Amino acid sequence: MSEPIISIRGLVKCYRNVRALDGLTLEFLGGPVGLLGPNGAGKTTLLKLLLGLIEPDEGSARILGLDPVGRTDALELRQRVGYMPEGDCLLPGMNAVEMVTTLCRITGLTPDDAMTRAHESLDYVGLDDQRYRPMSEYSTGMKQRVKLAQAIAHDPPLLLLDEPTNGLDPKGRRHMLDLVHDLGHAQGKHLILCSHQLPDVERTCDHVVVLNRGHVIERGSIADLTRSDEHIVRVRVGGEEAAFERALAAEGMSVSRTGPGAFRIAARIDDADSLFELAGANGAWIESVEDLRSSLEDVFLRLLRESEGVAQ
Amino acid sequence: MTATAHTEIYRRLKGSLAPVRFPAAHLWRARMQVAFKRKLPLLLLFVPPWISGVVFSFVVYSKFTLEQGLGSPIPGMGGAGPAGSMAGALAGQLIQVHDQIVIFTYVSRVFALLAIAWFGAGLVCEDQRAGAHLLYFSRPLSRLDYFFGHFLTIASFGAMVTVGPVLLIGLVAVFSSPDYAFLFEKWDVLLGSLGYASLNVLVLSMIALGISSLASRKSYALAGVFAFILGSDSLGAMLAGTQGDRDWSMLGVLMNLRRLADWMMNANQSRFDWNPWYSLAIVLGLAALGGLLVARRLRRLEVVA
Repeated sequence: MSEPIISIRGLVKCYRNVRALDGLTLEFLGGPVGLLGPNGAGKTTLLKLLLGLIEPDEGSARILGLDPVGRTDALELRQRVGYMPEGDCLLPGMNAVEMVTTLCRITGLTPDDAMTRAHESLDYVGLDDQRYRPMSEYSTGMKQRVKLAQAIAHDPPLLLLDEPTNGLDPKGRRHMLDLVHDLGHAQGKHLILCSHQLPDVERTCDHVVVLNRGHVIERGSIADLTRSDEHIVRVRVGGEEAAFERALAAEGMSVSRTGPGAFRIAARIDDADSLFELAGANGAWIESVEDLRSSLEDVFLRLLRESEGVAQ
Repeated sequence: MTATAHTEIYRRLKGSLAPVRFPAAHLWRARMQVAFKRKLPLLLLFVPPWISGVVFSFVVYSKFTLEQGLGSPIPGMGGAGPAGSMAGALAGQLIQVHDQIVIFTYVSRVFALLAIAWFGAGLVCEDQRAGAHLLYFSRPLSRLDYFFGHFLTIASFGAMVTVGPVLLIGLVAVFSSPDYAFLFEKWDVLLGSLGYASLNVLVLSMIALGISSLASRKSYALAGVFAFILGSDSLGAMLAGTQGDRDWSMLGVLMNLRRLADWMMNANQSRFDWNPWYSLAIVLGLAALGGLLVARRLRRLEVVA
């Protein structure tokens, strides 16, 4: 089994009375991983810790074999991590080439390498002649691409991407997701994608870690998590559809009407036959049954509900 | 048919990442590069002190050359004096040159304040506003490096309008004086003027950085720097006038710097008579306070990143 790139044990971080991380224990083996969680779950605190910007109150962590708590290791760690922040960020008064070059120089590249890498990474994100324009004139999409370019410019093995599709139009979003997917899969980067856009995570990552209240409430491959005992089916019925709906509810199945004669039903796998029986018994007939795979969003919401239930 | 190039290919780094010895230098270089893009402020803030420096240098040069009987550099102005009176006159000339340097150092304080306020007031607050700290602190750049990078930027601009011209005048005085007499007779003035110019830059830079770290925009920081420095001087002068006690002037930043200038450069007359160590303590205390404000803000900026 390969060595985990990130290994975190019993991490606690408190901000006054709030425990942002509450005994977090976690291992990332590598590859593209989505970091999910509601606001206040501890995602940002975890990212800061991975960059060595904050020190935990308790616990230990190893990232790429380095200890982010030690000041020397923390600075070395930042040489090996590429970070794309969530908010707007640029270096005042510079164009994209100057900004990426400056950041490469600070990271430890020679002047020639820094300039070469600035152009290569800006080529990669598809920023052409605009790279020489002042960044204050950039659109949101261009700013996001420059942010990605600066994160990959020093070719780090680990990328931390915080909401990379924020504020992008559909075309820009698609382009950004293509780049992130390419980095995580074709280029073999270890990648932690922090996003509220669950379809983005589903599209670009193989694994997810779900945080809530500073704990890990679920982790695993997206394929495994979206496969469950519960079948989501879309059913079209004819005849007494209202009686059929009542009968489903009486059987304890989760049912929602999606249109005239159309229902979305969460049924156990062994309940599948009983749908036909219930329909027949209530004067209805099933015209079609379509098997729906539960989405990451369904899983995420279910996990949050369960987590909140346990907490209460 | 048009040629198209698909450039979206990820390329591996062919060079290598080396440990960064002094990352502040890269930050300094980048900030200087940005500042030099806008020519008008440079022209307005740097040309006058350098022209003054050249004029003062010329005056210094003229005094020595006239005394040595080399003829006037300006047609119709003076001529060769008797050889016997040269040695006696040299001492007088040295004092006059000394006064020239002191006067120039006083004058350059104003330019230093303008340059430091203009180029320094926006550094921290504009970084915060643009989110630059998010990028800087995700790199191997410590808070101390960040501070030094910005301090060096401000100090460079301050030095360009004070230390540079003072050095020029001093060098002209040394090389124009017979047998480098100015260096041997008045080395304390050279040292004092350079030391004072450096102290002036240090104190004003730290105050500007401290105020910049408190403000949210460059314009606010700029107003804050002038309000603090000129306001403290006005208050000091007003209290000194109403109370009839010049020691109230110690409230003013520039007044304290003036007192230190008089002391460090052995000025012949000083408007102020309080102990210069008090002034030194006050200005260094203000510089330290500016440093504390910056440190506090940087800690927050790093964590917010």
